Amino acid sequence: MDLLSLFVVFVKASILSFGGSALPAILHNELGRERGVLSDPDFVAALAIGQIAPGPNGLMALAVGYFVAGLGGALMAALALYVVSLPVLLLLRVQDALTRVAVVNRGVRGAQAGAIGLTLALGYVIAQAMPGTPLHFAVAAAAFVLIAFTHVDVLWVLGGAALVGLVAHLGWGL
Amino acid sequence: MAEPTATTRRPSLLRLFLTFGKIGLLSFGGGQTAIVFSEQEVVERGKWLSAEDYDLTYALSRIYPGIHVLAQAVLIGHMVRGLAGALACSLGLLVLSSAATLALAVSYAGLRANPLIANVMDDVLAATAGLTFGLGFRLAREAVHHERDAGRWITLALVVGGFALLGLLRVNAALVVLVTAVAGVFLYRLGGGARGPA
Repeated sequence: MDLLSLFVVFVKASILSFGGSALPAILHNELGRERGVLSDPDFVAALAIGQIAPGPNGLMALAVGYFVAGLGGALMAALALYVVSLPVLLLLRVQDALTRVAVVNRGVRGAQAGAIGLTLALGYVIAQAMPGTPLHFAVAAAAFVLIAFTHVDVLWVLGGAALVGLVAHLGWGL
Repeated sequence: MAEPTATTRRPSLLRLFLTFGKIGLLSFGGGQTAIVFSEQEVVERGKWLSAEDYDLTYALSRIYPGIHVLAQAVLIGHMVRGLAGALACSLGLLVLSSAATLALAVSYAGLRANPLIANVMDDVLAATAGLTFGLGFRLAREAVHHERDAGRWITLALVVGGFALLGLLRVNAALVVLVTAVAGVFLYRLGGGARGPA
């Protein structure tokens, strides 16, 4: 996949990310499902890296770019995030109109709700890609409960899962 | 373009870059933490912006479809020091955290062939599935709570619709966002009851 097309995908995903919740779903959809240049394990690793690394979680796009096309790919992702963020200055010009126009408010609420639906769909797609053993289901269920109903940090959830994997693998290896 | 607002203090561009670099590096777990940090640095400690101006950058960045934290850094920088300030703040937020993200990606790519890592990643994948569902569930609950009356059902319907369009019908994800935006314009109008975006 050439870097320019990759850049275009990153721009599209950043513009429509609505705070970040739709970004991973769009990247997985376009690069994984539709073009087949991003494997599921690499996508999940990028998602986890986005959570582990400091900064906005949208930076997971850099890891995706790196896995698809090396350093050039990561650079395309960073450029896209940056270029897309600058036109927000145009909103300063029309701020008074924006806060009054109901259409903008309704459209943003609709897009935000849709982006949340995409996040749930992404969870569904990842669940289909995971190995179907009871242990993996238990890990997924525990992660869901911890994130949905408690304030446990994401780092602990991912670290705990990695630890379970390590113990299970080493235990069975004996 | 709005004129940079008068502020009590005028930080150097380097100071802005470093401050937002720090905000990025300290904000584990994404946007919400970054917002709390930036409010402290920009309003309380730095006194670069009034609370009202800060609230305006918050509100405008929420309307913006891109990454909110990054958009807010652009707006804050512009209000403090014009276009150069916008560049300094957003680059500061982006460059240092990007280096950390990239370092992790490169390390993972070097390890993924290792069978032990592959096994551990299976469990991380399972956790990511649960985590993504959990995050979606929490966001959906918050979005519904922000609405009133019919707006709650409309929001729920759009969330379920977004899920079904991508997850079950495999419609292009970017298209789904646009479709729900347009649907929101009509449905929330029909449902009445004004409520600001979350």
